[in-house]
Amino acid sequence: MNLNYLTRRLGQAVITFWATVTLTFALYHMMPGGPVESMQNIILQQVTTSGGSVDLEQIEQMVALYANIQPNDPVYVQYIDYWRQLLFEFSMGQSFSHQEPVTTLIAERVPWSMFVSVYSLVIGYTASILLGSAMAFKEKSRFDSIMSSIMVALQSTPYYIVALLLIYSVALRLGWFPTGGRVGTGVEAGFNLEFMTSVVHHAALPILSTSILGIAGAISLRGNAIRVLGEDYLRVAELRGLRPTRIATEYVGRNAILPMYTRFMIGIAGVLSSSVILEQIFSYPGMGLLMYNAINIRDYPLLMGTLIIFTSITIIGILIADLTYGYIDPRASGGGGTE
Amino acid sequence: MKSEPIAEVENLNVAFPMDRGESRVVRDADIDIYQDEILGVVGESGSGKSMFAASLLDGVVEPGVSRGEITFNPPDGGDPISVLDLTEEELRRFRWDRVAMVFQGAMSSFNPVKTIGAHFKETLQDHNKNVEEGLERGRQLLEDLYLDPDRVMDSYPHELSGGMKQRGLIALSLLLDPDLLILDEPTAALDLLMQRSIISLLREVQTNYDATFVMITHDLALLSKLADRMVIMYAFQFIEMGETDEIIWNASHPYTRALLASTPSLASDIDEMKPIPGDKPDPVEQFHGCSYSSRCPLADERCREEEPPLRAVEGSTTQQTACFHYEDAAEAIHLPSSPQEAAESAAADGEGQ
Amino acid sequence: MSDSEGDTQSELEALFEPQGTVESLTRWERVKQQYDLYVRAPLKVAINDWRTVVGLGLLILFGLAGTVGVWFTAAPSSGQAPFLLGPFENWAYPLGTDVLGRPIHTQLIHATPAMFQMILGGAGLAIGLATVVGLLSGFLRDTVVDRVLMTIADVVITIPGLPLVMVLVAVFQPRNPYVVGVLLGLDAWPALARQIRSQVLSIREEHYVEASRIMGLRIWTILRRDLLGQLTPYIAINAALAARGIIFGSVGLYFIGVLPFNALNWGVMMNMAYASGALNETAKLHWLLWPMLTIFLLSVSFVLLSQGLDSVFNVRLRARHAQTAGEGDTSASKGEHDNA
Repeated sequence: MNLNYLTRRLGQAVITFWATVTLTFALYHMMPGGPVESMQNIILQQVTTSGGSVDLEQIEQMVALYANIQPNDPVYVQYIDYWRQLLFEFSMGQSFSHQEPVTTLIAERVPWSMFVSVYSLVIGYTASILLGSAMAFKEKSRFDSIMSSIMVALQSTPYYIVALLLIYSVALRLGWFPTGGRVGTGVEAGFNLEFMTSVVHHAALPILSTSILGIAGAISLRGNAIRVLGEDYLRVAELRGLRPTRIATEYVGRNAILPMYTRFMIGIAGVLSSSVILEQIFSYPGMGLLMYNAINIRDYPLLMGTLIIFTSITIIGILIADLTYGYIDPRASGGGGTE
Repeated sequence: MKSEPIAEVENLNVAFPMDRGESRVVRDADIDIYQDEILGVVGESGSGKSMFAASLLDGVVEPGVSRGEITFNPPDGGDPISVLDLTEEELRRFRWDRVAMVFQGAMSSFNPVKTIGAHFKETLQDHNKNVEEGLERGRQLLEDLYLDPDRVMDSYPHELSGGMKQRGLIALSLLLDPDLLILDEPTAALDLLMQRSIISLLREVQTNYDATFVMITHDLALLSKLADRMVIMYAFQFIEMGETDEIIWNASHPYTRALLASTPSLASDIDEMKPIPGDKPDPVEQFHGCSYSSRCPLADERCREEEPPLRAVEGSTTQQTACFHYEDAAEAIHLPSSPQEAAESAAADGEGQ
Repeated sequence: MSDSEGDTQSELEALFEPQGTVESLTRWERVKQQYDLYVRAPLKVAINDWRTVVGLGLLILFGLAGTVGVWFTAAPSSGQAPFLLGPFENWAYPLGTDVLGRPIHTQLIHATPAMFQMILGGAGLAIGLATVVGLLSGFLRDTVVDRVLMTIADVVITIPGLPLVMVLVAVFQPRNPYVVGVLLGLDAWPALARQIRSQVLSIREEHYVEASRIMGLRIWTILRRDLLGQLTPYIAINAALAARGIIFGSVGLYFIGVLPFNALNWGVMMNMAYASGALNETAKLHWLLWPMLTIFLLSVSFVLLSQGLDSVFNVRLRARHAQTAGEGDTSASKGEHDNA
């Protein structure tokens, strides 16, 4: 692993984080009428429902409290201040609706969303690897063409339709799984079997629906494997009398999966994306549902906060992929990026 | 040198099913390969020579099929092995242990994600050999091929030059001490200097390790300096075979003579030389008569009707040719230089490199 | 990934081989040759592949529904028909009606134009941006421009698409379908731009581009003549896939009710059906299922189209390789070359 490559990947991660945070800051200012005017109504609503009254100065203070933006400072000071609070106070403002710091709200939800995302990635890609290699080994067979057709169907079905069909069939009709929530009512949280079974039981359908996102990988794996099957080193391995299991795993498998590895990690962006819709369908209280609720009442600080965290998780995922790729593919350490 | 045959090939046919019919890329090949010899197989690209070579370890790529009889006689006195009748597992064990093969794709003959050492190790493991002793032998082989074993074993393929990979592959091919080594254009992808040094290495290795070589090439010049015996292939058939001297000085088949004639000083390879007039035959076609008849200046009615069998050239016990008119060939296809001149320039060429 | 029927493959490849010699062609002959190479041959390959045929067929049907269909059917309005008719009960309303008595089929039809507008906006933006960025980056490889563009692409690829779109929607509250499409297409361009860039890099290596550069042709001439010609099928495939992405995204956002409900959309139908408990009441189920099926069919048509185009591309690529493969290796060595 060379240092240049390492710094380049780290630099990319920093730039992406900077760009995202700056984007959220810019968006506050791009709202019609600027941050104060656009948030005024929402703040007023919150306050009046609790029976108080406010003047403009108080609203400005509240904007500062909620959005981490001091409306009266020059923009560059606002910007520096926005960053200062994020980096040194871990503050992304305060939610209008929950009256709690955004950071606290998100921190409570992150593990649940990650749980679903990571498992659906793993399941989706494992399935696609198995299917793709089976299709490649039986290229042009009946199995291959039937599977290819099924793949077209799966690729054409949005994950939320899969979710609805699953809810209808296995949850409502058959009653095997709950239709929503993340844990059964009355189950005590903690390291006990009942709790863990309940968690898995509730997460099963969201995970299954999301894992369909990875299934398209089967087609690229099939392509990769067919390409590897035509490589000289594979023929030499056969002539060398290596065991078929070794050829299948260490030769075909490894070389066919390699090009997918970085994509696997970028896939986390897609999976997190889908959580916004899926968690609403399954009323699964993760970050996606938090964001969904935030958008309905225009809870801007919470929206910006979730966007920053969603991006940060993806940045970390891609960074891990980039940094470990060098260990998996000896050719990559020289650099060359993510092509 | 006429020792026992290590491999007997009888009536070998290699065919590929194709849209337009069956493509027969080796037709009725018969030959004995003797122990400790270097047998050269020459032909234009697409003449079927690689397919013949691959058949010796039943390694023709799918969907190609080798049919016929290939009998391997283990030099250590074991029972004869019928190569084409082995089960999958038997074949796996037979390959590389008895017959190994180095072919032209050396640049990509190694798994890109494994070190060279790992290739040595897995080969030993999968053939149930003692890994430690085997690796020691591997290091010795690398050293014999002028490679630094410590460096090469720990390197990944992309870290080595083409010549180093090719030598690494040759070392790997000798790892299990095979009785027969097939070299299919082992130097095709290398520059001239590297080619010559690999050839001289091969010669050393052959003497040191008592191996039998079958060497496939279209580089007639190179082969004439290395091979004990030569087979000429044209249009998927053997059309002439004999000791190297006999082929060079007394070529009897018009095609062989045309080859020699168009190889000035035996130094350039066949594909660069001035072409032999006429089209190359199609492997799907069933031809009548002699396959070379359409390009041959000697061809007559009989040649177009009847297929000439491979038969002994008069006055030789080793040379065979498949031509009805071989006696007239010398006159019809005149070689530009006399045998003496050719020998001198060939020798000079060999020393010079 | 898509070898269609092996039997016809070689014949199809032959279509892409230029007939006759290159010199001494009249202008007309050259035009005809170009036509054969770029129009007739791809079309022939395309109609040989059921995927292209089915994909295009479906797409044309949707196109008709979105243009002629809108014209022929009345816009759906509440109380226009009996409430909650099941499908195939009344042939005036073949797909049934919803709880407000609006026929399902006219709702589906009248939502089509906006969907196509979104696809046009989104895929148009994605493809346009990706092509410009990819070409620029490829041609200016290793310059500041290349690095800046690729960094931007990497940044955009990292930000999860839907959350970003949701924030943008919350801030700008777009109503115009083209704008919605553009927002949804924002995260589709970087991947394609990278692919186009590496295509450009590999094409640059090929000898004939080198040759035309040596011959002193201007860079834009090379671009137009060689690159765009080769990138077109590639771009088309990705346009089809981007279209699928826009459909998924827009319907999803309408379905969960994030996008404003001003237009008819299949996602809006799904939202209302779902909210009224269609999953629990069999009488309402068709209200949810028909839009789902419609989305599926439109996506299938784009996926099939992309695969069909891919095979056109592949056949052409193979034909070109066969041509440049050189003299010594014609049919006679087919077997040997399969393993080389």
